[in-house]
Amino acid sequence: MILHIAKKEFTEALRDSRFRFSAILLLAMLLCALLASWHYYAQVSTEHLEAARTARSQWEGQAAKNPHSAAHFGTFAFKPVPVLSLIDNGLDKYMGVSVFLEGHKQNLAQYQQIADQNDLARFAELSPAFALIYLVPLLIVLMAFGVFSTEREQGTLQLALSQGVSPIQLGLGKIAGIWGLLLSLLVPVLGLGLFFLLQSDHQPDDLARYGLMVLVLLLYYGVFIHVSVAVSAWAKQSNVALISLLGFWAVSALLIPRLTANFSKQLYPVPSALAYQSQIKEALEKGVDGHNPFSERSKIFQDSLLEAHQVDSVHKLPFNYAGLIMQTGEEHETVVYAKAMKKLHDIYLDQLRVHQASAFCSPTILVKLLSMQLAKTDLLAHYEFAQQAEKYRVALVRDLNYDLKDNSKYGDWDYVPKDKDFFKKNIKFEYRPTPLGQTMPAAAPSLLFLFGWFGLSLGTALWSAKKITN
Amino acid sequence: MLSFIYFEFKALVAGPFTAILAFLLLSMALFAAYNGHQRVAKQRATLREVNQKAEDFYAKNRLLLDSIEKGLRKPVETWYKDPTNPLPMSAFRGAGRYATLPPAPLAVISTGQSDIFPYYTKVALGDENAADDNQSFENPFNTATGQFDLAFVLTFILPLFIVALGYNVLSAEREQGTLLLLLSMPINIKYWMLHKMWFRYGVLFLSTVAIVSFSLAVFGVTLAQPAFAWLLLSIGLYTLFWFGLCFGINLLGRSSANNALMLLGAWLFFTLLVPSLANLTATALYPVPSRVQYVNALRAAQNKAEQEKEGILVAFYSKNPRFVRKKQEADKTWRDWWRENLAEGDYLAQLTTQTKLKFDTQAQVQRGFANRFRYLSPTIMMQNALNQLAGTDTQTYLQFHQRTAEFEQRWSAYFKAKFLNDEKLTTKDFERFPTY
Repeated sequence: MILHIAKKEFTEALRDSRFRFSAILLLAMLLCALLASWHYYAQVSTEHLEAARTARSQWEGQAAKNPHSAAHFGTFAFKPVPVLSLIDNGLDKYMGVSVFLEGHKQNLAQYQQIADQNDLARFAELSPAFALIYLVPLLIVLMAFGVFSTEREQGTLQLALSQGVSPIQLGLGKIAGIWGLLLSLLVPVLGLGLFFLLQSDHQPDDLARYGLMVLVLLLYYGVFIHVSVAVSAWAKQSNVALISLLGFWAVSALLIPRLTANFSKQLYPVPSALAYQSQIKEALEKGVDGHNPFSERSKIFQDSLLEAHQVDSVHKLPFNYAGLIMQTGEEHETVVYAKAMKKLHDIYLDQLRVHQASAFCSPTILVKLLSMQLAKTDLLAHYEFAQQAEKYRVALVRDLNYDLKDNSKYGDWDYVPKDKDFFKKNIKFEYRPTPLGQTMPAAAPSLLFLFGWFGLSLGTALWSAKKITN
Repeated sequence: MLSFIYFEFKALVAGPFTAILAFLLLSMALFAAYNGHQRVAKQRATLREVNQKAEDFYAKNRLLLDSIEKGLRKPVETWYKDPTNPLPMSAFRGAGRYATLPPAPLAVISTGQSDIFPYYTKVALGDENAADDNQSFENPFNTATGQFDLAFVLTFILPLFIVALGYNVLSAEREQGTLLLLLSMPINIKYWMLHKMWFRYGVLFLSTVAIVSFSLAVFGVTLAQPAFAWLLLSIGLYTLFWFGLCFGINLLGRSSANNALMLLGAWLFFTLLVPSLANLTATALYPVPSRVQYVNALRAAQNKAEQEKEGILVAFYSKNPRFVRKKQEADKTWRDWWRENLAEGDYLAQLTTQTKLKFDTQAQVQRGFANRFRYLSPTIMMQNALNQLAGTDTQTYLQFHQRTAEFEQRWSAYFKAKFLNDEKLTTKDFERFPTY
């Protein structure tokens, strides 16, 4: 019986010119978005690989110099582009692409793409994720707003109910019909996404991530289908059903996310760059400064060192004191910057929790969060990259300072490493992408919420169908 | 006519619908204005703070110099703390002045690009961002989501309200069966509808003006200014467009549901589809050169300058015979070191100017191209107009950047000349320092 009803819905929708027009338009847009983002991904990922290679060869090819000068000269880490960004580029355009790695400080990623792009990029970006998260639900509303209300207006609802079909069966049939229609549209697109993914240089867990993204989207579409069927069952007139459903979409996709963005800022304000810096400066002054041997902290450090080695001057130490004090300062600086960065990141996480909490009136936020988490284009993935770049910087600068300490004499700032290949032998930066196991704990609450939405909306839809009256 | 207005008004306020819409609009406008107010207040406070920082630095050094000139204090021995030395007064250790972009009088109405571009930067000798203290630390997720500002309420939400008020002006009459009644009266139905539309337009426009004025006034924005008149004009035209669209679609004579669908399709088309398609076209046709390659290019220039150091120095000393080059590193004083450093810096700047220019030009070409699409969507035009009125549009920030670069040139030229001529700064010079 359910199948019959589903089939009826399916055929009827296919005959509707409004639906045909919108579906074709949406499909065309999805294809455009997919092709454009595939092209873009292929280009950008090559650029990044090349840039990383160039940065390394620039490091290796630098003029012979004192290792600590090399630490000031620095190098760059470029954020690799995750392959799933071709489905959802998340926050990638809003976060810097390169981190300058130098001695003494942890720099923030630089150059957000959004600042170089035209203003229209701030409105909306036609990415596959945009079409899948914002536009597909509108198509669902278009398919579903009249499933009950139009039949009621035409008088066929009474007819159907008098045939002995149970209202629950009727509801399930309608839901199944919309699913059939939706899937027949989306399966080819999702298949194409999978094809692009397989064609690209993907990580083993990227396929599982893609699978989860699809699951998240299907749950989300389920919510819209259920809500639409429920509203259609209650609404006396089709236009009321339509307006209410579009209102729901606007609230979920447009209003709540922006409201929450501002609320989260009010609740958990981020420090200004000035405050952030002055905090760091204050903390830095509490430790050894490698470039200022006269500071109080440096003196204390020096005295304890002389005492431990039983000598009366830094010249008599069995190593170059300059290298050691640089490294000692570096270790203090590393901790200061790491703490500041963590503090900032924790504020971001608090703000994201506000967004997550607002999901009780916006399933769209949940899908946005989950989709970029799975695509590794979210804040966590960026933070993970920054952490790895920082870890690399610490190791590199340590090697440089220790070379100074072990192989040169105190006061000899003209020292250059004897090994001509010294810079070539320095440690290399290798980025390890966030494994799925690390993403899941962060994604779990949102996923759970989404399941909740799915179940509750399904219940409401069936209950509304059961209560249906003429 | 009067009775028409009277009945129309009664019909409009009869249900709770109009009151709910008005209440929603008012609360949204108030919240949006509050957000804008917070943002602008933060901007003002930050600008005060940075200006004060620079002010304090120069006031302190001027005072010290004054005492030295009057013989009350001994001259400062350490060169990098000496207030008569042009280098520590222009290049490092807290020296430098801030170039600032104060908020426009109507800045409250639109966040625009203010969450992406910096509105202050410290200019020092040879550096346009000497303190590196002007990044936005806002959560990128929030920035990407967008702000709840008045511009959002006016460009995105208001049209939805208009659609809700106007989608069924004619079709409802037909569906209720009152159209026949109307047709039986001696009136032209199109005129009648036009009147009805004008009336609704007037009510909506006036209430919006009242709500926006009230929201702005609550947060201390002066309404008696030309920008505010432009704001009202923009609102007037933008809402007129949407009412016109409702009118046209009603004339097609379809059902209410159909009208609603078409109008919301139009809303989607103008607010999301046109901008996103135009953006896609612009980025595909005129891609901005990659920043990662830009970073590498700058670094390559740095390497080149480093390798050609010897040639640069030879050229510098032959051009400036009054300075004698010292062979041994150990013999070099801070003067020698800085002279050579500045000569290398000049060479590097020459090398990088081309790279920077190429990048900026290509980005500008893309912006120009995308900008042509604005005529396809009143929403884009409205958003642009509001950004311009708020002084938060891209061009304002690009101009600010341009002016900063010019200021840096003036600043650097002034102090470099003093340094290379071995001049000492006096308290009078402090009054003549270049200002932004």
